[in-house]
Amino acid sequence: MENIIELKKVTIDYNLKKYSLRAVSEVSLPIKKGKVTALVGESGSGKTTLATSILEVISSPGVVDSGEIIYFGDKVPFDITKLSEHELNAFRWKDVSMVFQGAQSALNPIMTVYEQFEETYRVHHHRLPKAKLVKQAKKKTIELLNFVNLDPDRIMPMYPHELSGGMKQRVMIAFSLLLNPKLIILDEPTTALDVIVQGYIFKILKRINVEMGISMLLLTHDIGVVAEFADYVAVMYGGKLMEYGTTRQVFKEKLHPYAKGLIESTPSLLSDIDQMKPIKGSPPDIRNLPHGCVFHPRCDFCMDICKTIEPVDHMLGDHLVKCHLVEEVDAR
Amino acid sequence: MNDTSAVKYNFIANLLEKIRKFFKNVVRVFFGNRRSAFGTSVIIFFIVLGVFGPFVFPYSTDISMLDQLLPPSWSHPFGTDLWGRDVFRQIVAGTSDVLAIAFLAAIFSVVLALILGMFSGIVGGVFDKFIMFLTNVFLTIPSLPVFLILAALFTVDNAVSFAIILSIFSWAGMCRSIRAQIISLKERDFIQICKVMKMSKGHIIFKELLPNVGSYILINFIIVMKNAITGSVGLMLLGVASFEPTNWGAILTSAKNNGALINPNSYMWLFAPILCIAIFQLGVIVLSKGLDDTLNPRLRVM
Amino acid sequence: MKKLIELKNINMVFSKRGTLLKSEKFFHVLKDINLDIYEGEIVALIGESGCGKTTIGRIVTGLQKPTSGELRYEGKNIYSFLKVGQEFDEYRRYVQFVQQDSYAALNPVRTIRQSLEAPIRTHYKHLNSRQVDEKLNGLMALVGLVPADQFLDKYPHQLSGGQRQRILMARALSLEPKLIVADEPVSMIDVSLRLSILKLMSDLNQKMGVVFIYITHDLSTARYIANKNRIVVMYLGEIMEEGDAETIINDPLHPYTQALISAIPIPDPDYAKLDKELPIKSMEMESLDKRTPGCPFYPRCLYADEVCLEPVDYVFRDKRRVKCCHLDKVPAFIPIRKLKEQNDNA
Repeated sequence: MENIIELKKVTIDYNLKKYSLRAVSEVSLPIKKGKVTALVGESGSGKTTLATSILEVISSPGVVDSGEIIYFGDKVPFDITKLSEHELNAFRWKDVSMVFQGAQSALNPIMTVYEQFEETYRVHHHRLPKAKLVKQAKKKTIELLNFVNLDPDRIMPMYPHELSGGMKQRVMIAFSLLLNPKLIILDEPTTALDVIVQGYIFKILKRINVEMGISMLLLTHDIGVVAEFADYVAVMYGGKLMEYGTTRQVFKEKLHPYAKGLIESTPSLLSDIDQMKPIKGSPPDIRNLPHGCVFHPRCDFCMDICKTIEPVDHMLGDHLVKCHLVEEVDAR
Repeated sequence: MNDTSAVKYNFIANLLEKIRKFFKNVVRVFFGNRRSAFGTSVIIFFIVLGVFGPFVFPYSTDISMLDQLLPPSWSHPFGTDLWGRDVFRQIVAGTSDVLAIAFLAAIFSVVLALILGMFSGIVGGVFDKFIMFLTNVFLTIPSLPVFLILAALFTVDNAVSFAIILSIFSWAGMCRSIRAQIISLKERDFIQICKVMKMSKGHIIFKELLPNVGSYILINFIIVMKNAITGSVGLMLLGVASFEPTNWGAILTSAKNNGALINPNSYMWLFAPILCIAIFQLGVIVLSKGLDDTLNPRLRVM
Repeated sequence: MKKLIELKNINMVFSKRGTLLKSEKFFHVLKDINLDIYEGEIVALIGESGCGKTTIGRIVTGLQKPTSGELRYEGKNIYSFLKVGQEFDEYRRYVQFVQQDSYAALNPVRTIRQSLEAPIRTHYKHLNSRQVDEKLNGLMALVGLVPADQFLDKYPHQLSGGQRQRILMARALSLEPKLIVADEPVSMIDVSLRLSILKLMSDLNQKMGVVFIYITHDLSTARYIANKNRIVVMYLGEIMEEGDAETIINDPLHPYTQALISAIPIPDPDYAKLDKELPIKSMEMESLDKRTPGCPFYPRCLYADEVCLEPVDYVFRDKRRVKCCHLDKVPAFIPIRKLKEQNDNA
């Protein structure tokens, strides 16, 4: 299976005036081509920071401290972190695009939907003569809006505030497809939306993934969505990658206590109510991360070694688990 | 018996704790960052100068024409004026006056703005419309002609009346801003819950709403002080108000009217009050910027 | 069982003033709501945004007065109490509110101690400082925030979302209420913390008999908390289905409830392959100022016909009531487990 992006020991810091916060610590993660990879994590996990680093749009003062982000496109693979501003502008949206959380703030409130599509199209195709450019942009916009089941004639002249939440999110998805990207990063695309609209949007996303072969990186904390939609799952906690594998591996084998805890503490339609167990403690404070394994204060299986020594990445075939328990099993 | 003395002890211990916390907070707010520390030091310097200065450097109004218009020297750091009087000591003597006017003007403006703004925001309706009409009037009428007219009608001969006049045009903007903040706070969840929990109106006003506008009031208090000084100097230069001859503005006016502009020896007579005013203003501006930093991030939503 | 709260024919209409070009608009947010809440139970109020569930919460807590209809507390009409009178005060104490956004619900410039003490001192004037302290410590222990001192002297922004939510719960409990309305209490909290907050509410209900009205759009958490209790499914200001939670979730009768349940993702990859068609016509919910006569779900219902444009009554069936005129046309819902079995056997 080919990768479209390979994150290699990426470390991202937020350099504040008096001190520095390590938001992401030595994360190595592949994103498979043509598949949907889910990045699961809660507050302080670093998932948004990591995802925005792929487009080099980490909110300041975040900087990539070390590591490489290799992109395998049509041409020779290159390291995104080493691109110049000029090269980044060509790369962004054309190779990798993003659908942000809360589409409400991502759309320009003083431009109509069509104007936004046309403007972005124009910036990336500035060599075309104007008439041809406008014609192409319009055609593409109509095609994309139809794809997300929006009526182009109705939607194109509208302003963002005239659209409902579900419609705005679909416009954002169409917008992310404008320049035929190879990878779309979706940051909690349906958090603010109702469950029926959510189901509908994921249907559209699935079509995009299957019919157009576009890889997706989905950031979410909703494991139901992960199970139904993602092929691969990466679980982050406290800035570190705790587990990575296929959806089936992570959900069925439940090797890492954090992933296991998440699955067992999330109410669903099928969960056995009496068997559910909460995870004790609270999410970590990145100013004051625990020693040893970042998860140890909340872990039901915590051993002495977990409190002092950080576990290494243990590979069971393709399945990565960062936990001392797995090492123990393997040692036997 | 043991119980009551324990309660008394607890009460005193609590009180001491509260006082200690209060001072700790004051130090953090006023000296927390470089700007605040600088600004606060400047203001404290002038306060000390104003209170203790006249005792250390007493000023007498005796005229000594032999010493008129002397250039700066060790015995007369800022030289002398047309009547041989030491300019430095005049400035020291006038400091307390300047500070008093600035302080009073700020108090009048802030108190008026706070009362009307909160009333307007909380009660709404007809009162709100009327008070907003008033602020509109005071914001649009040009201040200078009004001052000239007032000066023609009344004599300004003490700090209080001067402060009142200066505060006439400073309260309106603050009032609107406070009203806007109150209106937005009223709809916030934590105020709504006060209604559900049947908290008294007094509690909501003084314990919930007021602390939230506290930082805004503090910062604007100093800004009004700064504006009051400039305003007072301006009015004195125009001859609209003039009383204590040791007031910096009066010194400046006197210097300008009595040839300090042309006599090369007396440049300090003109320059000294300007310098003092400028330093004070600088201190105030820097302090307000520093306070903005310390007070706001704590209140900013994450 | 004794009725604690009764909502009788509650209607809530908001109006938007017209201009020269547009006529005045009326938003009929709640239409003819009739609902009884009994002592000791938990009722989950479910629906998507715009269905009116939050408005019902605000009406029950007294923050909003309904345009018409009666709100009865222990049999007495609340709005017949004089605004300031012992009975209204009592009502205010006994019905409390826990909001969704725990950060906005706490005064940012007051410590937790100050925020919690204020209602206690207001309503229990006879308590001295030490007793108030004891009460505070007791409340913190009740919501699982120990040692109390670690939290009481902090400001809201210094605590995590889960901790703040517990404090909102503690504040609501401080007046010893009979009923707490919780409006999406866990939607803004990290997933790993949600279960413990839900468990807390469930425990409080069982141990102290506090009634909870749990408002949410998330049926999964509603299923957990309303276990062995009731759920109410709302759509566009009307109650579509209401009754025993387990029954409704396993065998939803109303087409809207069926659509809602089908849309919920299951966190189990084995079920992911099942192709679930959403039994609903369109994605867009109608706006509240343009209602169709009769059943509000008519425009999106797969089984609707002209009969649905007539006024619809409730049908009582199998531990619940359903607002649908021809349930016989609606096919039986195939629960997800059965669907999987069918799929596996095929």
